[in-house]
Amino acid sequence: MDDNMIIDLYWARSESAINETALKYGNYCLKIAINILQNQEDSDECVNDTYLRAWNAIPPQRPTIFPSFLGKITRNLSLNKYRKQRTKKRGGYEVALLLDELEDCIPSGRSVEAEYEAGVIAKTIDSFLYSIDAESRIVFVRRYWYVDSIRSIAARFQMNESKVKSMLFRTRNKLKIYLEKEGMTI
Amino acid sequence: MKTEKLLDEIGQIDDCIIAEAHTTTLKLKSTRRTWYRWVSVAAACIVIAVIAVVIPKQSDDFPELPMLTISEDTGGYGFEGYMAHDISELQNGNPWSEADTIKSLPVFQNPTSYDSVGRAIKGLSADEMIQKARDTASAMGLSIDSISVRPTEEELQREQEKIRSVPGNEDYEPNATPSSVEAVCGDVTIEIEANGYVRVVFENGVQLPDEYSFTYYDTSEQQAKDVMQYLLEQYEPIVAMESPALDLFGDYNIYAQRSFSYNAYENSGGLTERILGYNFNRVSFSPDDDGVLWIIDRYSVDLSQKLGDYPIITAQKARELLLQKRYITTVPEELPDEEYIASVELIYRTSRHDEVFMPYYRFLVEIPTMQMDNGLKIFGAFYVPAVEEQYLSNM
Repeated sequence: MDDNMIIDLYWARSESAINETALKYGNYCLKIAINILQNQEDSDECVNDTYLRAWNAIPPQRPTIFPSFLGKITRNLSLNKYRKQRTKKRGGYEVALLLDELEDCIPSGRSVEAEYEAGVIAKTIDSFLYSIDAESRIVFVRRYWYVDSIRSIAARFQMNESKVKSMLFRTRNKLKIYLEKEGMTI
Repeated sequence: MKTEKLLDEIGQIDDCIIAEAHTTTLKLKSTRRTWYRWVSVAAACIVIAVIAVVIPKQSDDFPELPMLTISEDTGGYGFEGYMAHDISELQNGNPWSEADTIKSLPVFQNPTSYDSVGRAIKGLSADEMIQKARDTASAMGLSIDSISVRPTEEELQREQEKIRSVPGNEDYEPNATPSSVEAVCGDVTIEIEANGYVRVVFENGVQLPDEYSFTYYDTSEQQAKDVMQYLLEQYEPIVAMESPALDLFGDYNIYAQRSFSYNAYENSGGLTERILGYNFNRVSFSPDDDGVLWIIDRYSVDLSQKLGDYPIITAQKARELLLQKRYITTVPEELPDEEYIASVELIYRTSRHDEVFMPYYRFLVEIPTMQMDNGLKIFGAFYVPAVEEQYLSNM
């Protein structure tokens, strides 16, 4: 079913909206959750919560890119769950690896964390991502948004793992420089 | 903490960038080497189609045909797959069958193009859309209360603010070309798009006579046929087909519920005309949850920009190309073994992302790694261009 039609179903408060969303994007959301949580049961729970959040948000919202809208919800829910579980030392080792890598991107500068209006840093990251080549951008997003493993990215784009690692390393360094140039602190 | 915060900020990046990274996959393969193509942000989000013409190519039977470029932009998200217990449940009304021997089929330029936010910017003018809305209302015996051309000033203003807020887009000017018209006739809304599509929305639904079942999940195939005959007769002024044929298609959802899509197409003329009717001249009826008629969609694509009649390969040849992995797909798995190929049909790809409308063989292939616990199988769609290779610039 076309995305607009699914969103129409939400607007019409038809419960078919959730069935159709699950059919079309269930696997998509599940993959994101599993990447983060590495646990089927917890991931299923996050995906089901995603549908509920979508149901509550539409209307009034009318997402322009429906899968990205859903994916953002799943990613947030999964990361929140990961953070709660981390204290119990359960799952999510890929996120731990990824957080280490992201150290490379933290701009140096003032030690006191600056307060930015919500979304300002994200928009600067957008601007950075639009400024780099498509290949580097996509690999970066697969790693740090979708939380794909290095091996999975290498397989997806038929590269070897060392190429993926070096590409990510370069992009992280570029992002750090970009954020510094834009006066961002995190 | 800082890296956690950065991870959260990355989570809020632009939807288009997220979509791009999702839709970009390994898509088209050649026998000589495997290659992939990065779909740009523009292509994933804005959907600029690749395509068309370039160098004239000649042969004795098909002189001076323009070369075609296969569009790899599927535009959608997720992947194209259908659930069923058996492939026989996925039959549709396609007039083509493997026994047919077609030597050539026409290829057309898509007359409509779309702007960065997906609005049609080429096609019918505002006046033509208004006239079409009036004609539709008149055919249905409705009087128009109000009529508006979209995008409205308010929509343009909102779009401009949103896009300009992204660094680097401070000079963005939205395209104000009329893309659709909306006519309100009491509780019925008629929408006309610049690509000529007509949508009639019954805000309160239309109750059908008790003898008909018209639902998403609780209607049998025979009941679906019966209700379609009724709807085609009842809405004949909108359907406006010489010889409508049914195209009922029912696949399953993850809860093992089978849902039908209620379609019909113009089935008059010879085989080529019927194939064109199936792909370009269609009507769909949609129920709401209460089993009342909610939406009628009438698609009649402008095929005036014909590029030529192109020689077509056989389904058997297409199967060979499929096995050589020369296909387009959104299925996130490699093509399984030949024994999993379940069906083939000849179709045109007609999405707004296709700048040229050309025929393809669509193979439904069972994906054994995706079988569901409840016994449902998933059949993924793999496309092989039907036009002979010598007319394709990137095959």
